[in-house]
Amino acid sequence: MIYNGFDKIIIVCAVALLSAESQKAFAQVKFEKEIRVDRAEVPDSALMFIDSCDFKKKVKWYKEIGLDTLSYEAKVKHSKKRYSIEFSADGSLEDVEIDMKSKHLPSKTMRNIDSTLCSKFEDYSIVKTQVQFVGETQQVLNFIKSNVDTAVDKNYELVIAVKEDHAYVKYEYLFDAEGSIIHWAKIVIKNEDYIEY
Amino acid sequence: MRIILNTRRIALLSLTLVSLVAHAQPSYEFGILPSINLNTSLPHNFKLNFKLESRQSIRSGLGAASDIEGYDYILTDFTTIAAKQIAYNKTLALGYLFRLRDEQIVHRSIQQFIVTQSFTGFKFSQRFAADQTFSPTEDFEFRLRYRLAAAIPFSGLSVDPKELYFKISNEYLNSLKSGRYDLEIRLLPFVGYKVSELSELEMGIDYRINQFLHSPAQNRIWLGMNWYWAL
Repeated sequence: MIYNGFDKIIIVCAVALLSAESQKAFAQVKFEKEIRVDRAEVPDSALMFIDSCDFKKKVKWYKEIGLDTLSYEAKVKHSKKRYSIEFSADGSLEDVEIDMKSKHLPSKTMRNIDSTLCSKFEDYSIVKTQVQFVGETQQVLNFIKSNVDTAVDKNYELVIAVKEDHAYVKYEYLFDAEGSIIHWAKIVIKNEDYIEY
Repeated sequence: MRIILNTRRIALLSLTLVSLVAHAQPSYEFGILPSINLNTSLPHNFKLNFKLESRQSIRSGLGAASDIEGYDYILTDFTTIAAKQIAYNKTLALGYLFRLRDEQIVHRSIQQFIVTQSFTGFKFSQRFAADQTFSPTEDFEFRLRYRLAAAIPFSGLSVDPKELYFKISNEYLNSLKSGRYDLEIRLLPFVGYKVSELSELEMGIDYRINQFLHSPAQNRIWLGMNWYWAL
């Protein structure tokens, strides 16, 4: 287990509450904690991939700890965009995500996403949008170096805020290039009272 | 715990604060300002915040020649704020403050509009506020306030339990009392520790300067200690 003691009790209670409220599966709840780590703590294969990318800017490494998951993420600014490159615990490449504005989504994809979300929620606000690239390691590396994305699959990850049962909640949705749902999860919202009052 | 932070940014902010204090003339007051913040969520996006804050002076005076040393209890504030979340990152709030100062009781009504935004590696909030102060012994005071605040985790991208964070806020208070306008500026660099998902402890400097538009400035520097607890 990655979490222990009081933390685990709090997280499990929050997750259980969210699950009970939404009547959805336990696995469809997202809770992550990121810890900044040094290169020395990152698996070799992940380091080799990032070093092969020849990024000009400093790469920041984070360890992402979920309820039952552990992964590593490299964050870097490249070509004036924010890249997040995620690796599994053993250093295998999982995906590359690049921050983007939702207004830059392809219009057909956006129409399908909007139609899907409108069928599920009365109203929604897009909080964050990322384009996600997945594929064979070498092809993803070629994409990062050349910025030509023909050999990799492109998905879109959206964080949205919705009003549900008179309360605001956030969801993370992953859509394919056509705008069809691949995966979704309810986000456990962290307490932010200390910055409001 | 591993601590990696943007030390340059924090050092620059600290230097700015020290520079402000160093040029502060001529009246000053040092003291402590502990507070307890209790928060609870209610149905339909409502929240309640109860704050107990006590102000105690340790040293005050007009320049070095007339220092008044020694402890002096000043006041205690009891504030209750009812907030309604009107969007996922926007909150409207109404509140009431009850102040005990010597034998005097002060009443204050409060209105706030808070916008909170998340960026990569930090949270940012803006608070637009107005308040009206009523007291049997002093003239009515109206204030318009604007506060910027940012919370930056020392490690990782968000503040998680058992992690330290740096919080800085800067507030501008426009006051109108007895037909006289005054501007007060506050700068509050704090270091916080998230004890659990429900609780945070903070300590830092609460620096306030006012009356500098019309007369010698009044400088107040408090050692702030905040405890937040979500019920």
